[in-house]
Amino acid sequence: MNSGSGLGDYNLDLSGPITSVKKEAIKQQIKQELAMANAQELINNINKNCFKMCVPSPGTSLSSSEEVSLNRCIDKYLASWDIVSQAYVSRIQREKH
Amino acid sequence: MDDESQRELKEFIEQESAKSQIQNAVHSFTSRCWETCISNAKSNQLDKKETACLQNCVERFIDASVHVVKRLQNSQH
Repeated sequence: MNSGSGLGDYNLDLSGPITSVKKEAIKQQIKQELAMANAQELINNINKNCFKMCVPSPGTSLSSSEEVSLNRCIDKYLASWDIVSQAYVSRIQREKH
Repeated sequence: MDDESQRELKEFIEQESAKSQIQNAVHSFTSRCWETCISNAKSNQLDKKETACLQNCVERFIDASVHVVKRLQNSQH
């Protein structure tokens, strides 16, 4: 998946002297693009793992039980992301000492 | 761009990039450990066993990575 946007697409006028307003705009843009990339990665991984778990033999349409399973799977995946994130961050902090 | 601004933005990008690297590692661990620890979506919550499995999975994956690097360093002649 491609976000299809670079700094150049955002009407950021980088000509002339750099002002604190422009600097803030650049920072916000960077934050937003990273947040977008992060969300895309999460969505891709949820799709991959939950499709595998909930739709093992795809039929002619998505059944209601498959949808229910996908909903539970999404919640569970997000909870897993939080647990893994906490475990990783606390490991990094322990390694520092 | 003046030196001060350049330094400020460089620092900002380095910080954001470090955050991003951690997030990417979390994505990769989550996907890897999900496969190992989560076998069904019968509930929308993690049970104790699954939670413990995810935590152990992250810790042991890092241990294993460290072990592999050490082993390869030691086997260099």
